[in-house]
Amino acid sequence: MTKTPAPTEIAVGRISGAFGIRGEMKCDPTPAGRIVFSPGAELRCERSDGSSRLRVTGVRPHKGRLLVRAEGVETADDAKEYAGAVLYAPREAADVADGEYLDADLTGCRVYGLDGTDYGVVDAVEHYPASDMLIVAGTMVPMVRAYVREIDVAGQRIVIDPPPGLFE
Amino acid sequence: MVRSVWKGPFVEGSLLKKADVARASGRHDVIKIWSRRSTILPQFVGVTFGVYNGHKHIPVLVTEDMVGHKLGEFSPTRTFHSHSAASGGGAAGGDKKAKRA
Repeated sequence: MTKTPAPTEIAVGRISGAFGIRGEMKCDPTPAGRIVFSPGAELRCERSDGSSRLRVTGVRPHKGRLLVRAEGVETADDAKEYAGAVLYAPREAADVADGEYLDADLTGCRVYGLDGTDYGVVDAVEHYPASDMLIVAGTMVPMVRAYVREIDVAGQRIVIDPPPGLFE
Repeated sequence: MVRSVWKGPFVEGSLLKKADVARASGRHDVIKIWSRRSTILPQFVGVTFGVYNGHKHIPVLVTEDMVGHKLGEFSPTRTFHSHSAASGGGAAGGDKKAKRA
């Protein structure tokens, strides 16, 4: 069994335990996951003992979390079996607005300057109060229009116009 | 904490000088600063500061919304690691959304 999701999938949440006696499960959704959870959604559930499919039948918010009902999970004991499981959804299920990107889409993109300078590959995306940051070769590039001019997710290419001193 | 109005907002003198020089020259270099307590003034809009968080300088491009706040508010000094996945490293990579502001 592998812990890393396939590239075509994104992590949408983690089941933290059972809620009540009717088989509801407490789920901590990821930011991208909040758009994916809806009745009828088909998710892949990865547990320590293997991977299985989970069909969502009901969702409701509760204290910042989601309470999820799923097909075949009818009692608290059933729900407890899923504690600690990580849920994955197909990448297409997460529909993001214009100007928004999933971290997974940006990670691995090659970053070029306006003059064609190759700055390296996006190692990670970090989230700061002022803006999100692309981590390129250990340097933080603020994800603002003034500096990030073009993002081509399909072509795995980002064009930036960094201020002098950023890559020093 | 209340500050007397007659004093005006606090800004480190050296920071003010650096920002004035940057604006006058028209260059948009990252200005490395350590003064997290300085208030963001309207004339800083469009300037990029590298605000020290005790570990590294976080680049902050000042926008109009930030005026009146302190520079340190945009350069967190602590990193929160959630206790979500069994592996201890969060649910998984690639789960969040990034927005180009």
